[in-house]
Amino acid sequence: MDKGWSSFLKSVKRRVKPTLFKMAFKDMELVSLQGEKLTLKVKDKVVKDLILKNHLKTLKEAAKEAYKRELQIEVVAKEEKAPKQLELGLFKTESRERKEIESNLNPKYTFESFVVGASNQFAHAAARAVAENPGKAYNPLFIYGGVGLGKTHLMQAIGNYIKEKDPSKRVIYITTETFMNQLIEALKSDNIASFREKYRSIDVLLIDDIQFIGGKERTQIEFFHTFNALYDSGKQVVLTSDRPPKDIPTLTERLRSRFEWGLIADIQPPDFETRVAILKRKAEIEKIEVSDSVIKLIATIIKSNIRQLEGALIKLKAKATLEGKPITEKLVRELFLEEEKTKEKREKALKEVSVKIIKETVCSQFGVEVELLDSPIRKKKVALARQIAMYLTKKIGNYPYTQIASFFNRDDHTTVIHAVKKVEELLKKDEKLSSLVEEIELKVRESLENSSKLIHTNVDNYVDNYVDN
Amino acid sequence: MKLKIGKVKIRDAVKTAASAADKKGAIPILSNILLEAGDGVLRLTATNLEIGVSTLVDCQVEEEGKATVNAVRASKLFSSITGEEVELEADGSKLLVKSANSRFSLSTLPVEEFPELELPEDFSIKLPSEEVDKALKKVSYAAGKDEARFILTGVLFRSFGDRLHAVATDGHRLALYEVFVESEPWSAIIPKKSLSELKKLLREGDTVEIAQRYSKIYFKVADTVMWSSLIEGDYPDYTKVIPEDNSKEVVADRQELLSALKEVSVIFDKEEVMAVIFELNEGNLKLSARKTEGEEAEVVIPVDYSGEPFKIGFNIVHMIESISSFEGDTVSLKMEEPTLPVLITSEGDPQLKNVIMPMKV
Repeated sequence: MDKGWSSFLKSVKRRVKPTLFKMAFKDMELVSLQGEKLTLKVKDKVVKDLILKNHLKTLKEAAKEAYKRELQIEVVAKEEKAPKQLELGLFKTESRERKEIESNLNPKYTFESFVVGASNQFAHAAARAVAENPGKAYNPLFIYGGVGLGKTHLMQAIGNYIKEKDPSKRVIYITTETFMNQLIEALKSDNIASFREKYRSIDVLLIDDIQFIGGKERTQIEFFHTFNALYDSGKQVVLTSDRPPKDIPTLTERLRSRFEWGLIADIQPPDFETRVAILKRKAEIEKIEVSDSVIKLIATIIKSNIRQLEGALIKLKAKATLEGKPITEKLVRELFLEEEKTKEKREKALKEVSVKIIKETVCSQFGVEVELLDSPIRKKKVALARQIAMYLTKKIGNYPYTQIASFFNRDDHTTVIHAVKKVEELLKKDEKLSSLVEEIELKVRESLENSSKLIHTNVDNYVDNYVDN
Repeated sequence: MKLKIGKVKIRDAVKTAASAADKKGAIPILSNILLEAGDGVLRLTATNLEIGVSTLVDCQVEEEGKATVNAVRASKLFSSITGEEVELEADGSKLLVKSANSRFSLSTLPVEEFPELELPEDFSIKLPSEEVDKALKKVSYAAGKDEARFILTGVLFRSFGDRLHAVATDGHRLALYEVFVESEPWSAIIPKKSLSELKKLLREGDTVEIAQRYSKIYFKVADTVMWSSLIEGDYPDYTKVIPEDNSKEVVADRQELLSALKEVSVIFDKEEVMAVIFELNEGNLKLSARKTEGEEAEVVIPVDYSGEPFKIGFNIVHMIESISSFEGDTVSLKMEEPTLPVLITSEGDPQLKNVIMPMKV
């Protein structure tokens, strides 16, 4: 029987993704195999629900392969481990004191509009469990994952779900930055008591991007006490971050350990099927008519970020509307080819702009006309200005010598190499020149920064106005 | 300053004051005792700013004045010095101590560095020392240790005019001791770490007089005044968590229940969450505990119970501490539901009430 079990596990492992296996199946225990029924024990209710909902078929197939017969699968969750100390309820807030508070939830973010796939189903299941049983299922729930993968969506979905079920629940969604600003404001205006009162009297606290609390000591202390007050009175806390607690730098140990008390769920970038599903859902919501082949094409091109994925669809619609063309694969290719092209164009434009700025700045300092730099004139003053301009072009832009030569209308790149070397030597010897060049360099860098507001295409402008993110 | 004083008197007075001096020595003057001689008495004062003690002794003052001396050095010196009488004299930056056949010169710190203190003249509250001492003994163990709920780390004294409540709770269990004594209404939350000093003081006399000023509380017994900083803030309303109407009552022999609890607790290691399950059936109580690794303990004792079978879990430490704090032969546990607070009382100890919140097991 042990042999059957291990081959069953192997067979499951082959069928699912490694991350999913590690999360849901690795620590699975065999309870019994009686007759036609295989009973498995998993670590908790979330995993159980997850398996029952999505992976029963996989398990059946694996069981058939391992045990050479059709088996019914039953999944049980390990019973609640540690006994839980109940609270006396000394600090229960009186309901009469309740003031209405702003939840800051975006009604768009619901569980219904969240596309579940292999990459996020664990986090989704955990979020659902928390939404159904706030304060009891997993506290705190810590969701982490990369940019644009739906952390905020899931978190707000929890809030929206709880609010919908019981509108009297006090739910606050807040970013760590806003929390910090409110704290600073409260400290400044000597209003810390009402700040505390506000955050310690709510039922559900949703804090986004908690990684930003790293290094902010005062905020950490205040948050620590808020967290304790809420946790002790059984209130739900949900946190998101772009990394797990252990990787948040300069986070005090006591906060870190508290973040790890509950459940830590990660969200991975979506797989191809999920990307397709997300695009379809988005197309439906935005009422964009697109064929499956177009959607698949987009899903193939954009891989990591859901926000970009959805943005691409909007861009496509924008281009189609602006140019009066139907949305086809050709249009997708055009758009992305154009994207590539514009990228190149932008880079080229940037290069030209920077060389121009360098030339202008140098010339104005030396009192030389800009055109003279590109001319064959070898007057001492002009030659020095030209050499310094070449030197700065190399230093700031790090362009190939041949390219710099062409910027200055020279055929031979050794001229440039010579110029750079010469200026380097001059700078070592001549302090006055050295500080002058330094000053010029600073000016160039400043103007470069100002001019790097890049040329937007009309499609970009449309998208900027359209997407609220 | 110059004076003569009985050796036993100065020894005891120094010992009393020295216990309030700062032991860490971060601020040197706080590890000193302030000596003030005037009008036939010597006042000895020490404080670590959290608490302070000031005591008076009779002596023959030849020249009034003040001096300071290191508390540890002084208590060692006066407990080992021989002779019936000692002479103290401040001499510049030194304190000279002479007895029949010994002579010491101790270094001092400037008197001006000692924190300025003003003791209240009027102690308007008078309570029997023994009752206050007992109240502290019976409730202080239940105070919280979690600094995040700072207010619970102290013991609350609250007088309603005709009776006084001493209360401590950590949010999971609560102890309340009631003293029927008349005094003007007052209340104060005294930090747990000031209590040992207060207990010492209470042994000095039958009556303790109390005064509260700003954020300090002053206790006076005989010629000694001890003060403590207070915990500021509003103590939560503990009266609302005391369940007076619980319907399921079990009465057990106190010693029997206590030893059963101690027996069961043997299977736990110190760090563990120690849950004990009470299973009540007519006439008996089964206490059981189970560890995750499968180790088990079970003890059955006879009790007075006649209701429906009932099951409830507790933190065994809370139970042991509570049951040991009572004095009577029996204890009564009144329960309602496995998730609601339980009231513990004893016929032989009518002034004490304990409330314990169950564990969900």
